[in-house]
Amino acid sequence: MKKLLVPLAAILLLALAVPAAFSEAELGIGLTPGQVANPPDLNNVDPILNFHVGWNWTILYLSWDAYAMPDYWVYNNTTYVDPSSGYTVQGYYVPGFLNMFDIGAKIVLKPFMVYAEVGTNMLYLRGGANYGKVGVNARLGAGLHFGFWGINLSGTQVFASTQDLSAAIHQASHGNWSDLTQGMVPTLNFVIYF
Amino acid sequence: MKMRKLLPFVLLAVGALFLLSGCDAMLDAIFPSNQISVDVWVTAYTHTDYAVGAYVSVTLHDNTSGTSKTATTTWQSYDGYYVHYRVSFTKLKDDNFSLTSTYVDYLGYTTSTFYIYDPSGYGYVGNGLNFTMPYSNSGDSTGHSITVVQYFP
Repeated sequence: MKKLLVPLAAILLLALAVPAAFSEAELGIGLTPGQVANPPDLNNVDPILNFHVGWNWTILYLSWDAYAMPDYWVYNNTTYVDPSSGYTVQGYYVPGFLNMFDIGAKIVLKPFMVYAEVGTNMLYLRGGANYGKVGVNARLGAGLHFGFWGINLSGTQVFASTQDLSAAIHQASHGNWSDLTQGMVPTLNFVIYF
Repeated sequence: MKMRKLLPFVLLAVGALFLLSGCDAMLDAIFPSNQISVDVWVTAYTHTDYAVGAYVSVTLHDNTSGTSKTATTTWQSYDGYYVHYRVSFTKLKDDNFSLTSTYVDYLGYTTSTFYIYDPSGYGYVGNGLNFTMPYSNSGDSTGHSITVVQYFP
């Protein structure tokens, strides 16, 4: 617990430095390198496009990101082993939007900004269906904020369940950040602020 | 620049994004090129031991341009009856293609393509599938993203 006090105190001090009335809406677009997104065939290097909407008030940060995922990613992430039978249940082979609804903290000290969020995922499958079993996510990001536009780099980690996420955060609070950050998918985001 | 004057447009954009994120046309626009996934099924009677050390090579030949792509993969899953090996080919043109595959077991014995199925129609296609993209007789109604099954008894 003591290890958490220093970063919490730092966040509090930074929050005090942000004007109380500060609020901002944002729209963005991002790109994730395809190979980092782990396609099954290394010849596939399609980058992943995402759309971003966000709003922050002081340090409270809410965001929604919709990642356009290729069909092979959707298949890999909807295929699972049924724990009762032990058999593999084949997934959906269609493209989809991986929607991430997140809440967290964002600190803007122009031109610098950093943010951290956690949230839930929802996968829209081409054809009209929604698939809910894609867990939760954690995201860390940092970047530059110039007037009405900015650019930032984020890393997103998808977890199968909230238990997995809380275990990773628990490990991070003990100084072991690998569960939280290892395998994070980097995304370069271009954002316009309003 | 008074960006806050544009806030109504932000709300409109958010609404548009909300609609687009559930929009098939948007996905079709983002993934316009043809993609083919091949799920290779190999019989495994009792366990996955046979899959360790085995691999599958799938070759997609573009009959129009005369070029070929080969993808090799180890096993990915086991459904109780078959071990699955899956590869994907993306960014394909609207050409005519043929598909063949080779299964190399853990002892190094090789078996070439046996049966190919179109899982949407469950139709027997035979040895060496020929098709022209977009190939509409598949799960994706656009025909841009198809999956076929290759089966080794």
